Amino acid sequence: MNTRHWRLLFLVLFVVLLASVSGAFSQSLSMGSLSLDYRGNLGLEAWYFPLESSDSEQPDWVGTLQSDLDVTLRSPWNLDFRANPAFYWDLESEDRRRVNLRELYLDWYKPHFELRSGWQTFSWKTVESYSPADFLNQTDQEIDLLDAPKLGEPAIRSRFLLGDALQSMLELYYLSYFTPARLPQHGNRYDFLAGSPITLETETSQFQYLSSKERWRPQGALRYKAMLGGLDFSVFYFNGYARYPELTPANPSNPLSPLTHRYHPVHKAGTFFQGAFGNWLWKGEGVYTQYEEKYTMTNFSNGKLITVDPYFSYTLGFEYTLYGIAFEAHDLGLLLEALGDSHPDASLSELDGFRAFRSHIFAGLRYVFNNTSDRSILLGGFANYRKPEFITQLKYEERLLKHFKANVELQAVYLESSSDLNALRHSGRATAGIVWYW
Amino acid sequence: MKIKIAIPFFILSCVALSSLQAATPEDEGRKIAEAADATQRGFKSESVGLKMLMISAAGDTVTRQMKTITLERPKQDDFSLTQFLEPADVRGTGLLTYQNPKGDDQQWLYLPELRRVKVIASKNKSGAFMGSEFTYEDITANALDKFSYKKIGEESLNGVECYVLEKYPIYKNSGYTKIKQWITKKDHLLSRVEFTDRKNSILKVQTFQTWKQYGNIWRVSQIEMNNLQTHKKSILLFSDRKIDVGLNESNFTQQSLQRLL
Repeated sequence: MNTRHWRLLFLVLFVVLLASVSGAFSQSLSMGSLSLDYRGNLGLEAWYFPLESSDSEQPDWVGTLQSDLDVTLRSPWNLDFRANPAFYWDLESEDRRRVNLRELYLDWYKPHFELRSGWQTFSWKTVESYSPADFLNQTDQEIDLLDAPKLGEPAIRSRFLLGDALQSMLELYYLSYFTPARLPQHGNRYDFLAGSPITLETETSQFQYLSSKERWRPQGALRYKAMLGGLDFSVFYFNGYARYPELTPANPSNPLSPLTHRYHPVHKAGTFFQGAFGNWLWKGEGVYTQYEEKYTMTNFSNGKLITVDPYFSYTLGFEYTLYGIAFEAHDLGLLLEALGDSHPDASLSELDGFRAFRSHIFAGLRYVFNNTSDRSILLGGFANYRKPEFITQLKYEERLLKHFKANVELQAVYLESSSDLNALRHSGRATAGIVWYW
Repeated sequence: MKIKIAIPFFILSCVALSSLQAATPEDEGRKIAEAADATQRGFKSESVGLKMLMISAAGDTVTRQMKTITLERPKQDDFSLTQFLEPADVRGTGLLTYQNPKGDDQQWLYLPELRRVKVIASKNKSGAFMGSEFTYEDITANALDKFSYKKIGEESLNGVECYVLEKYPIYKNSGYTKIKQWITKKDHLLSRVEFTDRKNSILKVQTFQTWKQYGNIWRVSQIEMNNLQTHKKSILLFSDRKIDVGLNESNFTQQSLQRLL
């Protein structure tokens, strides 16, 4: 889309938002036997990076306008239509301006069956920190890295509730057209090639696929979910492309040529669970990954040929809540999660994808005021228990008036130069944001 | 012959009399509570809109809106699903509860922004419900067997004759040591409730206004909760109530939690 289109889009959005605060709008409209439910938001978020970056083109300030429209048309025939586009508008960089179609689907449902077709966003996440099982949707790391928004996937999902045990369910997924990863480009504050002469290929038609059907290679997943003595328990199998690409020089004879994406088909099988026992909430995810064919790649920093072994990654932890700790109204949640991998000692450049959290602990405190403005404070962070490596976050959030939500956040990063996450060493930031919900 | 008939009659009378004498305040309290509970049961399924006004000590008002569906499961745990409509930032958030008549409820929270269903620890009985003066146990912990009872007298309240009883939570983590209830003699409807906190002070007073009858079922249209210690007040207004709306267990799953009511 060019600038004119963007202006038109934002003009339409502005008119819709303006109309939404008039008395004519009430978040729900009835049209005979149909009903239209809609909601949305418009927000502005500013990031400030106090540390000097390794690339002069990386900005110290980033400002992003974000908006989300969520419209559901409901019919009396158990058939719903939903559209949920999200808009991003970087105040400076055109690379961070886009529409993400999070949802655009038709949903037909009966008491024990559901069929949903179109662009969809799924969640298999049960843990609070890094989730190895939540991989069905590709993420947009140009918008943010550690809190990357998911990209809608064109898919068909069917659900079957099994027997009388209402919490027993089978899900089948068919993902028809592969969405490549969106990785931070040159000039992005999270560009992991910053300071290097090598850049990433941006033209998606140049990406490589290890299947003749390329992006049309069928991908599928199967998930069985059951309740086991108070534990929500799922097992799954997936076959499709790995979400993170192998990065390889577009021109093999020129090691300085842009790195293009190469996608390998993969098998994944795993489990995730969550269950509350008293004040304790236990949760975990474990995923075994095996490439369909022997996966060899050339380490672009030293030219070595590497074979990626099958591997297992997991996140396991608990949340313990102390209720009514101050004025008998506030709650304090304690979070602790262990993140691991079957190859904790390997260098990141010898592994596939983003396997940076392989020997880490995530610890957090969530203080909830339980007041009318839903004020909360979150303090949390990752620490590597094998070497000095810390990423910490302090976040304050509160509703203002009836329609606004404000947040202030500090992210501090301490990484040794040998760290797998070294590209993030200058990315500590302060964030302030305000969102208008309607 | 007459003596032969009179002896069993005399014995039966003694037994009956002794059983009347055995009606302790605890038994009477339990019977009144059962009668009050019976006015609420038999609805099969129900849907209702709720508006909650939270009024600060200074008189400022904040509004919350939600919709709740409930499935009655005789001799089993009831299911309920609440979906939040207001404020706008939580619209679509849903809470699914499988009530446990004796122990902790099972609860799941759906976060629409993240598309995520999260199990939540339901031990949080005394926490504020959406920042209001109602706690989770005020909203959910109404099962008869979660309390012991004692009738302490009879009183006229606003010109209406009432039984007065006390009930005591027998589940863990309650925010109360005692709950005093005024129940009308005529229809066994709750009229007023006083909550005593863990420091043995009266914390809150709840009043019930405008009871309506739907067949054999009674439902209140307005509940007001006054916090005597903070001088804050919360008012729950019920609207669009429908009884026996044909819901079944499949409307109370984690899947239905993710769909708009």
